[in-house]
Amino acid sequence: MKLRQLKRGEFLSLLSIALLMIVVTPLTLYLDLFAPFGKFWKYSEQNHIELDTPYGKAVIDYDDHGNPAIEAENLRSLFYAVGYAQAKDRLFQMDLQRRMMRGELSEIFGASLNETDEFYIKMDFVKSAEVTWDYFRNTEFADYITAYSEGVNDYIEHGELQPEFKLLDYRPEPWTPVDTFLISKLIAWQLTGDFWDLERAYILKKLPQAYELYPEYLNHSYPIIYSKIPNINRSLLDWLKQFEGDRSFGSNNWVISGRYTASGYPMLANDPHLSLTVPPVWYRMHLKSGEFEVWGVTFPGVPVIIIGQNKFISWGVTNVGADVIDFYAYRFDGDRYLYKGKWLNVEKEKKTIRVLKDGELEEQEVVVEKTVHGPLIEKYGTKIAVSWTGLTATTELKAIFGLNRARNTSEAVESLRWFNVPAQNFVIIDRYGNTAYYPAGKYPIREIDGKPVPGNVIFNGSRGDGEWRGFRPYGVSTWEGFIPFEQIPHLINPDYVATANQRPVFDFRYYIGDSGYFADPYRGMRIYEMIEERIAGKGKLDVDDMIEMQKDVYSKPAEFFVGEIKQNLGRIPFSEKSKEYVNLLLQWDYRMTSDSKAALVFSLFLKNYMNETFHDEFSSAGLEKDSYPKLWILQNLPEDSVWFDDIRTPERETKWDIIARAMDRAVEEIEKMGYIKYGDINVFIATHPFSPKVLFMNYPQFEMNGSDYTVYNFRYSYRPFQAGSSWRMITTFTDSSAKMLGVIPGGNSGNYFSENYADQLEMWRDCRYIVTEVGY
Amino acid sequence: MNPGFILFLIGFALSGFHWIGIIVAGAGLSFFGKSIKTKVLYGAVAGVTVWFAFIAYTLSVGIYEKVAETGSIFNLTVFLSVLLGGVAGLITSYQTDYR
Repeated sequence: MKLRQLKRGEFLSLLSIALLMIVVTPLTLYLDLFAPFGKFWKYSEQNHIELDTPYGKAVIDYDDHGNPAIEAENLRSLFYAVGYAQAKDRLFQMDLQRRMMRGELSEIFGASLNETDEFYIKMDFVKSAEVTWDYFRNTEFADYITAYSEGVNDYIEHGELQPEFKLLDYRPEPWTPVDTFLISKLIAWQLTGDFWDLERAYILKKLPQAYELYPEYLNHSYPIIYSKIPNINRSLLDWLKQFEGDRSFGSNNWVISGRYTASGYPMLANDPHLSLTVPPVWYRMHLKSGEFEVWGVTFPGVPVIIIGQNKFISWGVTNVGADVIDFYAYRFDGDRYLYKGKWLNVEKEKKTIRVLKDGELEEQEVVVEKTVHGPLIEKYGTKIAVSWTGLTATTELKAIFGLNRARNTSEAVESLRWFNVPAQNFVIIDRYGNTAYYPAGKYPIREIDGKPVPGNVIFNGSRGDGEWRGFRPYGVSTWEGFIPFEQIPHLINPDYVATANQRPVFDFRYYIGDSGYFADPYRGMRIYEMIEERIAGKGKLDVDDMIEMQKDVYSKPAEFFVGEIKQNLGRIPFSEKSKEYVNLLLQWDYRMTSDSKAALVFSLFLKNYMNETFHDEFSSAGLEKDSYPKLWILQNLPEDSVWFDDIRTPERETKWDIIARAMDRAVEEIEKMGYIKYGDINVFIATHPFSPKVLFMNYPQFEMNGSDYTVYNFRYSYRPFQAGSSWRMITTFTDSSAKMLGVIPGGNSGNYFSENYADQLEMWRDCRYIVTEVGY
Repeated sequence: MNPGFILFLIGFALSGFHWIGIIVAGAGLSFFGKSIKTKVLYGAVAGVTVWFAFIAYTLSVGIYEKVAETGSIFNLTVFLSVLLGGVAGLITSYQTDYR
């Protein structure tokens, strides 16, 4: 049969259909997403949502800044709606965090996160969250946590998913109560999951004379309350560092009693310093059901307010930083380990990592190993068990519920008995004029042969040295080997108190951490100084004073280090070129503002001073910069300290030689890079997890004031994120209302298309606040 | 009413739900073209019309700036609209009579 010759038009017509099929088929995913009106662009701002939950009605009303006020008929419908709202605004963040804790990141991001997954699976955080949920199952809170999960799942099933899910082309699994506890464990791990004990052991093995650089205490006078090594190696530490919390995280909080306030009511300020992420770590909300009413911030995935206020009390937290993690080495015989004279089998469980490779999921096996003390970490020839207070059933959620409902400071303090991990410096005020400070948490008491010992060593697990009595990893602990709640140093009704992660108290009978665990005292000093200056001056503080204090960028390190340069100017052999820059420092007011050149010079000088002092010894011992001691140690080294001698030169250098050299390095860097002011290096850069592949979801960049050591806190270096005030809050009471000023670094919505995605950024930078005021 | 225009309207409405609508709209409008070139042009015009409707939608829900800031993805919407509409314009080229 002979086919009819096609007309050119017919040919083109058929060709176009073929072309469409050829072009469209591989492009289907892109077309579905990015064609006009495609899935990616689907968005509608919802400011009023009425929910018919299985437990009753609930209404979610958003304010102009995307902060939900949620009101419901009863607590179950309230928490259902909380779950719904958080899923609407932050579901991707919630899913990413639970994936991290479950070791499921490589399932969506590919093999690059394989090792991260392996670590989290081996730590078996899931099991610790499961036992925590098992504990809560039989409490009054089980209904609320279940309702919260149902609310999240309602949104997953019926709501418009965030753009990230569409880009990655997956739908999140249903939320479970265990996921809520995984988020809680994640936060605790980020604040206290620390391998400092191992690193300290490695530093001292490589550089024994560095012992003096890591003393038990930093010798300062501003505590919060006035008054045989296993084969630890660099590869292991580098690997572990990826998964530990950011050790430089700090926070500020302080309270002023009514005795020193203009209103006669106490005031409280708090700004926890955490990673500056997109979206922010905190989620602001206002909850009301009958007599239950509370407002403030929480971590997405957690149904209650973690830092906030109700009509009776307000509370804030900073990280204590205590040592609540220990490590145990054993004598092994194959899969057995020696424990108190008996050979026990290492408990083993096979788990699977699913890794995305070329669009397909590939399964890899991971063996989770445990001893009586906790999970075994085996890497680079080292096998060591980890005990961390979060690896058991913990009851923080009960404590937080208690704070949400407390009607005075006493009730609030009582609820803190249930706060286990991470140990937190709670400051509390109530409308009756009471104040309190309580560093609540579980602090292990370590003993060897019946004698108390510090926990900053690696214990002989085979002897049972240092183990925590009453601690049952992946079970329910009885905690008898921990500091009793009543014995934790605390203050009831102080006139004022300030915490900034400095050591809570000196000369405490129990070890709670060495100097590596607590922050340099500069912020704490400055807060106390500002409070006392104001009390000595005007006598009474008001909310504007609290705002000014949160805005404060005065650098105590600058005062000390530049002060020392001033006093010893004739002894420091500054080069001619450096002198012009030194003059800037000498005329400076020590404020770390973005437009200041002196702040730029000081910031780079400080970095180089640390490096010029310790680099020679540390690098020759194979140690990195992040092992350098605290700034306070450098500040207090005597001028003839051996650490100032550069071991690479025949001369004996002194402190003054090193200061001059550090200044030369700083000047070289400034001139080479063309920096003219502090804001050239102190730039806010918060990136979305998809960055650098997707850039438009990042927050805008801008110059910042502040430093690691100022009360207005901002750290521009990445570890792996920048860090700073993740929530600024000031609370107080009046005759007729409870009042909160608060702001987060970004926006309350995690949805890129929302007008509340980044709307608080500039307010946050400028210390402007969103006010919540609730009448009695 | 011209059947091509009716098809365009159907495609235009459909494009609010699925990108197939751009093809239908492009094919519909291309009935007005008398040559291959004009058919492709009419198809592309249909694609651009849908794109403008999309922009109007983003303005109406207050996300236009965010959409524009997506950069290359935003450019992709233009490219896909013109590509789908233009190629769809060829579908009706069977009407042309060149050998």
